[in-house]
Amino acid sequence: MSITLRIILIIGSILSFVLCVRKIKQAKLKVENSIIWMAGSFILVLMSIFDKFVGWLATKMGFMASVNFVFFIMILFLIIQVFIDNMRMSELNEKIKNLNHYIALKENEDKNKEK
Amino acid sequence: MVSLPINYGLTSGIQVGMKYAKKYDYDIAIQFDGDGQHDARYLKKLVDEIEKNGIDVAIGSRFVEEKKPFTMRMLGSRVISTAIKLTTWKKITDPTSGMRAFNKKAIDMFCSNASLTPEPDTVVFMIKRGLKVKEVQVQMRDREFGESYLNAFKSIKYMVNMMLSILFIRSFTRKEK
Repeated sequence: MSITLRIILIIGSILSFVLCVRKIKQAKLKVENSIIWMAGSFILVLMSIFDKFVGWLATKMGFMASVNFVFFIMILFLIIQVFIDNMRMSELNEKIKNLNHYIALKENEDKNKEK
Repeated sequence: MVSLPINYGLTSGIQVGMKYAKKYDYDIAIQFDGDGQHDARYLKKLVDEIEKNGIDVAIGSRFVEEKKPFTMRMLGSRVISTAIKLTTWKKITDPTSGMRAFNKKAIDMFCSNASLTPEPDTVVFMIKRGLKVKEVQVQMRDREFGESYLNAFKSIKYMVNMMLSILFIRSFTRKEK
């Protein structure tokens, strides 16, 4: 890995880490949701510090350059995140829908009682 | 009338109707388009099928006795019919028909499975589950007001959705013991 990339990765990681902490303080992000991002940025910092090890691992796994390996890890991480988010969204959708139904049926019932 | 505090789409509307039917222990629930396409006189025929012939789901079809015209809309209908035939070996001539009657068994199914929509893939699911589905010849008019929720882009999405659901998801439904 080139020194420029390593610096960019470290700066990016620190920025995202700081952002996470700030959003938690502002109560805009739940701690359990931010942990995965903090862990991600931590791993990126580790990868840019120990680039020798990353390079060794990359060659062992058949990557042409260790940069590719870093990007691969990032893409994998993001895909998994998006998938989990999608799952959560469906779940929430379902819950909102059921609440909606519950309210509608309840209101209907109350209205009939008044009559 | 039950009115939902948030508009949540056609599927949600049907499901809340089914929940209502279950709550008040109705024998039959009817799905019916309110835009003037359907004629309430034919509902008797659908209900008769359920009450007298022991059918679980009766579908009002335009094409049991009549021929299907060759329009773009009917092309989609044909494709879905073929997919249903492939997966269930049953001939459903008008799979997209919005005029259906469900008995208690089908109402229960709607209430216990949130992924069931008022669309053709649910018919496949119900056939696979061992419900008796029958089509009844009805006449339908052109809609008097309102617009179809399908435009060019949405109909492609609808078709892809239906095909994927029928061929890869609903076709693996096991019969209930």
